[in-house]
Amino acid sequence: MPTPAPAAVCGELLVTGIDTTTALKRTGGNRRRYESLLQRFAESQTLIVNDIQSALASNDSLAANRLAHSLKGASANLGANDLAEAAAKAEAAIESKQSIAPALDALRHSLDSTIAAIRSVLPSESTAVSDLAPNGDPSTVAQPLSRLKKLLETDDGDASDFLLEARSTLSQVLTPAEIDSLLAQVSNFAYSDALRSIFAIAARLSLALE
Amino acid sequence: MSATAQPALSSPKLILIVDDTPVNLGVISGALKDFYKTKVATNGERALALASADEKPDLILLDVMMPGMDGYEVCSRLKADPRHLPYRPDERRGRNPRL
Repeated sequence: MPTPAPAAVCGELLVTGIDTTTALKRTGGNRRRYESLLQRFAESQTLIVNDIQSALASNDSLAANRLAHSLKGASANLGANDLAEAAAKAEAAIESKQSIAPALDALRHSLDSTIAAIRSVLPSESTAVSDLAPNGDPSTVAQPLSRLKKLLETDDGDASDFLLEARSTLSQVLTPAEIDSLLAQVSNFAYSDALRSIFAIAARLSLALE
Repeated sequence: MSATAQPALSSPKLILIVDDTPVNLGVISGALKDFYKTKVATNGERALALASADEKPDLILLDVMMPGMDGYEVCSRLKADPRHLPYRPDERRGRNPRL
């Protein structure tokens, strides 16, 4: 009997608390992109309730409100509807300055279980971060790196999808650490950071990029 | 990029998406990229720079609530510019505008 493939690779993507079917359609139907977005969400939002509490503690309710608002939008976009509702309640509580503590408790609970559900299905992308360079031919990555550089320089929304497609080619030559930071920068739309990474990679490989 | 939804004679329209939350940028650009050319900005300053670049966007989807320069400020600066564009505040009300 063959070992069943992980849910992340084939079949329907099932994540407790997330309407993946609707959200996948909303994100253009690209499964790889959607999974990457879920992973980035799980990585970036872990401490968001602490951040909201810190903002409130320093009387910056505007920042607290904005964080709850962003969480609401992002979770709704990704199909985490219960979490979006909890974030909406927290946003309303912060705005009205009433029952903030219970709203944030409920938000934390919902966020923690949503992130745990994402991680159980889609393990973090940044597990094996090694500086060991694979021994592929550096000239094979000149073209994809040049293309990525062009996309980043022109603020093109296509950069993250392109990187996900080029990942297997790049991983023949780039170190896992290089791939990992490039993925994080591009999917966070930190394009100028990603460009700096590309220049450093090109320098290491003595590659001239177009 | 495929452009199947576009008339054959025109190149894809350019949409500038502005949102400080990367996940939202990722979702919106993912939904649009097969039909339009997309550019992304994570803050108001960058949005203004891209809006006045040589290749001007045909449409800007603008998040209102952003740290630093918010969407209202970006919008008023765009409108103060003689080359200003029609705009649509992007506050998730009606997720499927007829672009």
